[in-house]
Amino acid sequence: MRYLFPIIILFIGLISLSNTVLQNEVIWPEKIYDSSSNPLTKEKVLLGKKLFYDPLLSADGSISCASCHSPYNAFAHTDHALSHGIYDSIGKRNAPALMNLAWQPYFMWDGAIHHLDMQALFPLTHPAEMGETLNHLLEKLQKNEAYKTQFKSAFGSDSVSGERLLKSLSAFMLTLESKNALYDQVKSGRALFSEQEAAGEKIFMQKCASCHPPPLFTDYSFSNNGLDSDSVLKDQGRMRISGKKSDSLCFKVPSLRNISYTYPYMHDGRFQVIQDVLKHYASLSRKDKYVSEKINNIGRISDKERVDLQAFLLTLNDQKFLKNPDFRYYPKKM
Amino acid sequence: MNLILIYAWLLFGYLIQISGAEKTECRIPVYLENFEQANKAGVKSADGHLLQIKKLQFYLSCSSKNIPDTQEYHLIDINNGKDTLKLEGEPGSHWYTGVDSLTQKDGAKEGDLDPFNGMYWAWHSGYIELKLEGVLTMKSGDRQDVLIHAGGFGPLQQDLFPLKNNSDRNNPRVCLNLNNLIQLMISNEIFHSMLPGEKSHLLMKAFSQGIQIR
Repeated sequence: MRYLFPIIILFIGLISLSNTVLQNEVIWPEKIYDSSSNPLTKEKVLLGKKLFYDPLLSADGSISCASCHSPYNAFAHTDHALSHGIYDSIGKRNAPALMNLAWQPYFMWDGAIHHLDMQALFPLTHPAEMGETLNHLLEKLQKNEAYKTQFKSAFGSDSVSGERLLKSLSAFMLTLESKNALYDQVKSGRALFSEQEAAGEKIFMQKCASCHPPPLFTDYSFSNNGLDSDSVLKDQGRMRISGKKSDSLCFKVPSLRNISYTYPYMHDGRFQVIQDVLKHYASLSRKDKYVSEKINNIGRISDKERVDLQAFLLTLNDQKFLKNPDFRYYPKKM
Repeated sequence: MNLILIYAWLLFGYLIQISGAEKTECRIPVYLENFEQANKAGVKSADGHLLQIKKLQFYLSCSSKNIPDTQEYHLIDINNGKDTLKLEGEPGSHWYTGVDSLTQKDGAKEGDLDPFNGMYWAWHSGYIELKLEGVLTMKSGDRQDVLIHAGGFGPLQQDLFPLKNNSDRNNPRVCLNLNNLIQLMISNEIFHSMLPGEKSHLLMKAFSQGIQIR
């Protein structure tokens, strides 16, 4: 009987703790990628990883997917405003970070691609990126005994087809899930925000979350965020795909996860540091009919708010994602 | 017993001395010659060409006499104020630009070699050893965008580029002159280079020839 009181207290404590954890648990939406059409197997992921890191996929053997999507930088191209390609060529857009791709309905800055399995075709065949033709690439892979063996273990036969190539690449990219930032730990009750980070979160939810809602920190919409058109690149964004004037200078809203490692920012990498991005939004004082309504409604952002916002944004960095050995490539060990 | 205590005391003193010596830092400044702040922050070459620099980063290496047989890489970033080389102790006499190919093949490292600095390409290409971005206005008035990412490893690539060391002082300085590099860019029409290979090698060589330790 004398133990009853402490047991009740302990019970109440556990209930309240579990409630707190459950209330705060990050709820992720359903994945968009239908994995029944491409079941993930260890063999397929390994093959996809080898392909992702192999410069053989480019026309001159100099560029791999990893050349612009480095595992050390959240699969972005740190400190490179525009993507690089074969024969010293420069692309027209910043290489985006690759993570949580199973939730993405559109790919590329203008949403030109609607399915992850089709996405890799664009950089593989683009003359300013890997500059290869699918037929020639398949020929090269078919001649390679190591690849034939890996295709056999992944798909049951050593036939190398476009579909198998693209599905293997998707399989590896689908494993690139980033869900263990400080933000996630706080929301699952495993850590706490500092005072400044908490203040930053509050401002973020008021001013930024309409386009960058958690937990993905993007709504994958296309938005004109008030950037001037670059006179050299002359990139019209989504309008090139939709043909609608209202889509002029609209680009896909990127995820803010791992923001520290994905600099420079924006579709053309024009901003080198986070504060320049925040200053840009803070400077959008006048109502511009071309700028997306949500952005026009941001309102004033004070200097202190900008600092608090940055503190919060840094909680979206996921060190475990960056240091995950499964994502890295060690050719000698493969 | 007393003798043991004296030995122990001497050993303790020696260890303190060693650890104290290792903590002595040596800061070596890096100077960019012919840099004209007033002239749109550019470097004027001997032939009268003007190179406006938006970004100038490179790897410089010098071992410390106090820590022999070690090769440390220092990322110098002229535009962002990282234009000082910090060594623990007295500098050794061998200076280099670049990153040796064994280190490059070994994959990404930490510190100044951390890929976060934006100087790492990929496992099959290694490190960017020189990043120079800007605009070159030639004497004739013609303008060229300059985008040079040189380095990496490969059959045509030299490991490290030894630098001229004319200093007999313990506090040398690194003097960087871009004349050779500008000359090479104009005569060979190399304004873009983004991959390891022959062009990259030529650029690294010309760049390194313009560095002297004084």
